Amino acid sequence: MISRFQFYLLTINYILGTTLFVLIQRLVKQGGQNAWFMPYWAGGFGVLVGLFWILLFRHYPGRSLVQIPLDAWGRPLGTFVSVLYFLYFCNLAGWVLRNLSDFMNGTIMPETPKSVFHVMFLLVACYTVAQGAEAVGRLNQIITPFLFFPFWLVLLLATVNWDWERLQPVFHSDLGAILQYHSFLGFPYMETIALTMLFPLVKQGAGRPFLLGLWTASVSLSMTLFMIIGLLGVERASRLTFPVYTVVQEVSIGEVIVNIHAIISVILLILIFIKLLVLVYGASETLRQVFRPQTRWPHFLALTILLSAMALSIYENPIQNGEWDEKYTFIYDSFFVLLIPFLLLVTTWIKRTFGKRTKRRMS
Amino acid sequence: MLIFHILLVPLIGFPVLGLLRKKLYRDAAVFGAVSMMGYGLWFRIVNHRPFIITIFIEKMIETFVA
Repeated sequence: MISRFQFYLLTINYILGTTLFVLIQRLVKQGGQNAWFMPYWAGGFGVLVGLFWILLFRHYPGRSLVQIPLDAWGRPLGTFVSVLYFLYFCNLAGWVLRNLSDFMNGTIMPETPKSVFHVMFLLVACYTVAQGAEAVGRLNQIITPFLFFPFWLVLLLATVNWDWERLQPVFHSDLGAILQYHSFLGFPYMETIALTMLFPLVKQGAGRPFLLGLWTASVSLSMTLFMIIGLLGVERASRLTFPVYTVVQEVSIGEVIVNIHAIISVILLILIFIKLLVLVYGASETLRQVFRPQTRWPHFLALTILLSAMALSIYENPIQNGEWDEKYTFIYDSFFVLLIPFLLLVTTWIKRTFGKRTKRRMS
Repeated sequence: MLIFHILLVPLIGFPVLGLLRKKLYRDAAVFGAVSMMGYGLWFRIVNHRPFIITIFIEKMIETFVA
């Protein structure tokens, strides 16, 4: 079992995970000076979707996301849906790993093959997940202060280049363009469905820490975007591949504080690792809960083989990934995050209504 | 290509044989199914013709939408 505070921190770090790598540039491009506002409306949507999941989970106390279809739709169809969720978690994990290797190749280690990063991260992630959800929660709790304080400290050090004019005029550009950017709802907010695999393990209920975590992550994202725009400006930030990294790379105070971008690299790598942990946990638990194997380690080996291959096969290059993300992320995520839970909820309501009627007739 | 097979075949084959010897048939089936998916993807990667998952999903979405 994990505590509510641990789950709250896990939710925040899961959302921030790859978002700080991949999305900052695209958000600034879409929202201009007002990009810092985007996490608030997307976070609001995330909270609404979270409430919807909580409603579903209230009908199935102690059951995880992949056990609910088995209860609601029976073994054959339930297993099929659970396998779909397994593939969804694997897909997301592949994405996370590929984002990580793209970052590493683009910044620190351009010559290292991508698979080296994938396999090494997967081995450590599988080992951590094998220790159980408590290990994941506790690891995240211990590590969060070492991510939070250095991250904001290096960003504050970068404020030597701050210019308020880069944020002006406020709300001048088309707000409709901000609201139309629906892929931001899919990634990262709808992907938080992987965290529902941990719902049954949270002491005293996961709902409140989950929603609070969603909102805190949105505020953090908004603040980060605000600082990126103030430090780099819209033009520059929308052209850089990793604006957060560049901001810190340019910090130079006297001859003492230079080359501190290694700190931000380590923070981003750990955040990605935490997201990967949750996804590997989701995938391995799906196998365990649906197929009930007696052994554990062979399946982690199988997952490592599968995920390392998926990471290389997920997209061709970051440009194709960006285009796909804008067009299809919302539709793709909606299937797993909105449609299947909605159908589960409808089935549950119908079953309960008919069940009550049958009981009344019997009595 | 040969190195690929030398690396992956024992990595998948030995655990499957071990699980079958212990009569854990379900475990062997689950392990085999998951690792064979990975093997297939790796095979395409090694052949320089990777199966791009997002393009596959894109085609599926386009088919359903149309």
